[in-house]
Amino acid sequence: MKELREKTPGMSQENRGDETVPAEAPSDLTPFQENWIRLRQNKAAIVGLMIIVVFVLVAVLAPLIAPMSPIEQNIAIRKSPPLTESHILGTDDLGRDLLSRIMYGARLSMTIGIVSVGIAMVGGVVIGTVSGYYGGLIDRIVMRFIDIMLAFPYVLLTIVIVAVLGPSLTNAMIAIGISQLPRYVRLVRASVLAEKEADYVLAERSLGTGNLELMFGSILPNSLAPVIVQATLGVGEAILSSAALSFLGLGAQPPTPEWGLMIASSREFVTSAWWIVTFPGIATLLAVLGFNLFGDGLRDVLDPRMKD
Amino acid sequence: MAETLLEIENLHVSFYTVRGIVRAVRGINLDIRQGETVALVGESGCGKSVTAHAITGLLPMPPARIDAGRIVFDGRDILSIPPKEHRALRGVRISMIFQEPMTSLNPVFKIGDQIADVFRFHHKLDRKHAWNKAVELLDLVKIPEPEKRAHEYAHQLSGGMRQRVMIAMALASPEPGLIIADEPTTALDVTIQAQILHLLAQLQEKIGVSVLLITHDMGVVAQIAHRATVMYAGRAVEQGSVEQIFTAPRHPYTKGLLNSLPGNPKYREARRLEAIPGTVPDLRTLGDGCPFANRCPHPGKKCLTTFPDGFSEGGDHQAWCWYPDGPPEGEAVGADRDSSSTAKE
Amino acid sequence: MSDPMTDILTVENLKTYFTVGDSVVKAVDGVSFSVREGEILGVVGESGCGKSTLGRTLLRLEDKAGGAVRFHDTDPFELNAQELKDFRRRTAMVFQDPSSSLNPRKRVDALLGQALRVHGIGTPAERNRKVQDILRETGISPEYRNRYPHQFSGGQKQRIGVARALMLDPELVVLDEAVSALDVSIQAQIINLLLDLKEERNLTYVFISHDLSVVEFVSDRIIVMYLGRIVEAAPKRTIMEKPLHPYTQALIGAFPSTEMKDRGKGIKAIEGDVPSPINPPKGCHFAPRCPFATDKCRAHYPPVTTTEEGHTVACWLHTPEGA
Repeated sequence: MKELREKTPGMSQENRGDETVPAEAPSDLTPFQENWIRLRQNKAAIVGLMIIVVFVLVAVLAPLIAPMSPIEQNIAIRKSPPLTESHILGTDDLGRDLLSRIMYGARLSMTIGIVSVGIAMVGGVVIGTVSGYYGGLIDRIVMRFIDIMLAFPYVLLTIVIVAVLGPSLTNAMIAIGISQLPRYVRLVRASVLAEKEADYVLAERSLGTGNLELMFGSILPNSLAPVIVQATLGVGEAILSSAALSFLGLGAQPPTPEWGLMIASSREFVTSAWWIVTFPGIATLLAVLGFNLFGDGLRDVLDPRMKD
Repeated sequence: MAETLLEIENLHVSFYTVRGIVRAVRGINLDIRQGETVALVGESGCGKSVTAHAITGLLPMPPARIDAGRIVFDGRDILSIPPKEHRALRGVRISMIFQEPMTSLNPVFKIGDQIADVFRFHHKLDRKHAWNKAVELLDLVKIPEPEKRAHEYAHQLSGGMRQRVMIAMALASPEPGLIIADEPTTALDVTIQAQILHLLAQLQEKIGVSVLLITHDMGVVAQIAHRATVMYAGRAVEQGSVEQIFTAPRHPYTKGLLNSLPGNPKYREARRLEAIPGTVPDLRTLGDGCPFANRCPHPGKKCLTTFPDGFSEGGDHQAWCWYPDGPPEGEAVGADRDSSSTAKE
Repeated sequence: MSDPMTDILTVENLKTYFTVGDSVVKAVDGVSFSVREGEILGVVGESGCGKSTLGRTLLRLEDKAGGAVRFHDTDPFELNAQELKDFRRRTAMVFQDPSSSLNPRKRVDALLGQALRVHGIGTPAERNRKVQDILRETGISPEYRNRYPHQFSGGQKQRIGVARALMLDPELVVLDEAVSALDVSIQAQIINLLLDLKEERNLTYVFISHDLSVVEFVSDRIIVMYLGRIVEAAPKRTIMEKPLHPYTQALIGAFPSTEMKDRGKGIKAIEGDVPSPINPPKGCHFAPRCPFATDKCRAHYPPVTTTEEGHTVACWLHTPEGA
């Protein structure tokens, strides 16, 4: 270390650095790991996550763990109450096992949630990023269009789109995706507008980085936090929307064991066979609750103002 | 000799965080007399702001905790009085001026009103009299056209102007005893900084208020402080009159700090600066040795294990260093120093 | 004034304007100077003087409103996409705030390797090696290249910023308040580092700072900016010992010295606020605060006079006809 004490010209290359681990940032963790630790501390969020995990597992494993076929009818035992032999949750008006239908319904709900939100998110993020980055005329046109879309009541918009495309589960997913898209555009655009002025963007531009890479490689990853939060909440909303559409006959068609459809077709049995309506309803409620709790927890963690 | 207004005795403040205990202030002793400006100077993380906040009671507790020590103001240990009484001191006997005047002035009220409020609340004056006093104060801090400016809002004023308003507010208290100025000119342009420092010095002479100046800028200390304490990693490493510290620094950190300033006349023809190598160690893993040992040009073995007792250089001048002139032959830390550094990773 | 043989950068009457609502901010309002190869040009001024905007405009990171920039005879504002990319390879910038100038989501090796990747230089293995070399050169242990920026201290982040600027072996580096956000002791380290690198790599620096003591130490020549214009330019020693413009004198006088002998004299402060570039005063921009201002100063902006070789000043006091 003696060389460092020279009073004359600078430090030699070997000794010019400060090799000590930095004082301010002790963690060796990635931003992801740090966020995860903070999330863990939020009990509600963990509960939400567990609910989601349960539903995802049920959805994935349904063919293996469902006691029976969801569409096999057995008129003889129709409208059996819960805890009937081999039908824990009872049967519906056509003798189909309610538990199995709900389990298979989970597959549909998860699919709907993910696909719809996927459409909305990918589309919304791309449009929002490009619009926010370039600004000017592109931005103005895009935003007016988005404003128009947002002027429609959300449910009405989904109904209109499904009506145009024809009632089916696939079209319901597309409709929900399109209806949710505008909010992703707005969210991402707002983030991009702020981030694109940051020094690091200027720095990367000064090195010759092109617009495309700047937009999607540098700015977007820093703008995703609100998008992720919205996506988790959006899944819950997609499930509800799909249930509503099925309820109106515009989404899944019988005999598909979609929760909303199950509720819709069992309205008349509310008093005589309450379980046919109730259990799909509870399933919907729990699934949406799980996503909402988790999404709220994520928002708390990812909100940069709450970071140290 | 002027009487002592504030005395800090053996103050220890720690922050108990998720990532460990940060020992932010370790054993600071400080006194401020009537009518003088005392500077707490050091770089980021040295504990100077924490010390200031302990005086005003603005430390977030939790996670902060005052582990030990007393702060005696007006004859009372303000660390052991109920928070309500501590709060009552704020704005009356102890005022603060912050670095960013934009965030400490209320944006939706006229500045005249904000100053007048101090008079209405603490002095119990009526509206008209309070407003007149406010205008008087604005004039005292050399704001041009004070009657007109009093009707303006914070965002209409420049940084320098806002800082003057902050000073006016600090002076509005009924018995201004101590003004704590936390980096008051750091955010200002240098020509404006010169104006503010000039003003502070003038006001002190005129009104006799004491100032505790928190800063990292040695130049500012040299200009307006009478005495100073140099802090490093939570400890006081040197203390004395400003003349003593600047003309005859004894602690290697103080010397290193003065050497780091490119404006130092010794660099007139120099090609490089004499920089202190390395960085401040992690405040959570500091041992009991001297925190500067890993960057010191001449550490001794004792420095790694025990924080030095202070030695007196004469008068009020104190430095906390075992070997201010370097350790004797056998005591120097050898080439294997890196592994025995007090900063553990 | 411009010597085509050794001037790496020439700037003529450069203007950069911004529109804010209805008003025009003349951030840079007619600036002319040249930079010789291998020198360090210091640009000093207070807030609103336009020095940072100037730095960005030089590298075409801002649009110009008028005037010309020439880097080795090419005008960066006249280049097509490919030529511009080449210009970007030969120039670089170091930014002020280490916390915001590094992409928080990228690891250090990705951050640094990006420059090479974007220009298609080297294989991944070669890039990796170069990244490690540069890290070592700027004083960061290469074993930390997998870390994220937030895991480093301010000084280390700034070293990474410097490393990034050097990845493509540029000739000209603009340093925009590169050491201003650092603690004094770290600042000294980084200043030394920058000087070492400049010599080892034969770089030319445009060093922008509001801190006169740093600019004085580092620069060969200094230009002083006030409200979008250059008020004085000269070699360092000349301008520090014989400042001609009253603003330069005020700037030098305002600097809080650590010399005890200067203490009793009181702080020399000029009155008035740093003006806003939205509404510059008519006539000499400094006239409202100038202790020597005359009516002529307030009515007409002074021409630029060259006193000795390389010493220019825009002040009526130093024109043959006087103020």
